[in-house]
Amino acid sequence: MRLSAVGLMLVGSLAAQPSEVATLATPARATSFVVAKTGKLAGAVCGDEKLRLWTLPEGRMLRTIDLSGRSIDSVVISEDGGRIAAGDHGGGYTVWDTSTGAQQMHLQMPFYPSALAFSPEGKRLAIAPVGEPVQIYDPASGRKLLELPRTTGGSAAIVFSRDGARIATADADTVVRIYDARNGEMLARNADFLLEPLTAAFTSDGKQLLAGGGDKVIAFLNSATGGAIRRSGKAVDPVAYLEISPDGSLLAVALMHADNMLQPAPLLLLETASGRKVADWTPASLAVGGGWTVDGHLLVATATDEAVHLWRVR
Amino acid sequence: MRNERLTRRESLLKCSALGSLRLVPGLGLTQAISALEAQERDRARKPTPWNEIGPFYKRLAPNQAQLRAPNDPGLPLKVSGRVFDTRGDTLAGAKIEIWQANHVGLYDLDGYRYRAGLLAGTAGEYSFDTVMPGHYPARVCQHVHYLVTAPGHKPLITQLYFATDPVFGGDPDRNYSRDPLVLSRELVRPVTLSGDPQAVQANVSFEVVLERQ
Repeated sequence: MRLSAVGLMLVGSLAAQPSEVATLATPARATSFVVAKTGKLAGAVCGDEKLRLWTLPEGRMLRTIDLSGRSIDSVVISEDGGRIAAGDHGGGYTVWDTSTGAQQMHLQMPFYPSALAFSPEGKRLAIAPVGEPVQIYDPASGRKLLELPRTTGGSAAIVFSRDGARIATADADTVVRIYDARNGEMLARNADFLLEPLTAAFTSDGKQLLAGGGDKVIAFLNSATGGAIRRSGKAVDPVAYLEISPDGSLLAVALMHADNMLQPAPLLLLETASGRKVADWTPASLAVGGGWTVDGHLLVATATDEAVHLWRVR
Repeated sequence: MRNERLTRRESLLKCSALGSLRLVPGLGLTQAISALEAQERDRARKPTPWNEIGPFYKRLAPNQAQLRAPNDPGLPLKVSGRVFDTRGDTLAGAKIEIWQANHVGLYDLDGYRYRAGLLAGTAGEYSFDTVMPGHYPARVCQHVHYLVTAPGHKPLITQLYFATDPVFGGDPDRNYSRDPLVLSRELVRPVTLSGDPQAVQANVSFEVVLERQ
């Protein structure tokens, strides 16, 4: 559960401005941030090559994990906050136990990650090495459980359904695919996108898969057939990240400035059922991550050289 | 039943035994096979290094080699090359999809500017006229994306870089990894300028080698 480090911002025409709920001191700027769905643990990869963990809501530093000079491309945290996983640019993939800081799994692959995802129960870690097939591991043992079929260009995003039974990928060949997460059988696909889909999210009941990307629209897909049920209007910029609130009623949409991914871009909150916009914000600086928590809050982090600023957007 | 792939030498020996490879008098079998193998080795090519696809690939780009409109700003650039397999055979009809930013580093997501889906000619040749891509803000280097496909071959996703890119400081051998996404020096190609002082054009050759499936 994370909001893309590329592109989420809080700006503008918010009904109620987001409030800063924690300031987490860091000796170097955070480049990516994750928050557990419990809302009780957060982590950030910082420019001094350290992974820092804090307890929330108090913002107390829990521990610092040395990344040994590795440049982290992707980080995810399990929903219960028990595990955090990171993939580095040298193709190293590591899982740590957040309660002890102990390394649980380390894999070396030829390529760096384009996406990582924990299953909802935290017992499976899906890895999409850039350009390579998605692979699913048991993070406790490091045992490979499954490899999905190869697709041209690999996957930009991976997401499990809430029951963990299915996994969806947003693929570089512009196709969105849905698989049985137990055996890797492809169950459905959608090839309506012209540009690459960059993100996907199952609805709470698993009946729909939402996907978006360079086409600048959100497609609501029947997750059993892959067929499009409806499409949103065109946004001003590509859709970089989608995440549905725990009760299923709201959809957080992070856009990405196509002309410069490093610039802050709007975050939209939509009603999932109607697509009606509830709010939109653009933060003053690039968001580095965040996500929904089980209590229905949407937390978004921005970063300065000295701290992670954690905002409650909803 | 034996189901192993024969080595090239074994294959040639079998051809000879079954009569599909014949030798003129005076040419020994071992000598002939060694000569054939050497010739094939000389033609063999290393597969072009892979490079990531990036977020802006768009399918159904038109088959158009002229990407630069008459009044487009930027340094005119002609890219040409051929598509081979690793044996050195040319791949006529290979599809070469390319996409790039314009001269100031912006991608066209709504249309197909600076995007094309070309087909290699009978000798595997391709070319397109474009402009030197600008520096996309989230990337370090100027680049052109490639997706090359041909029946019976693994799709190749890669990127073309330019030795004249200021990022390399004139020394791409030493500095190519200043862009963490440039994983191979081989993808950084020399640039030849042509034309006259009023109308200079950059020219780059980029041969592409696909692996068999």
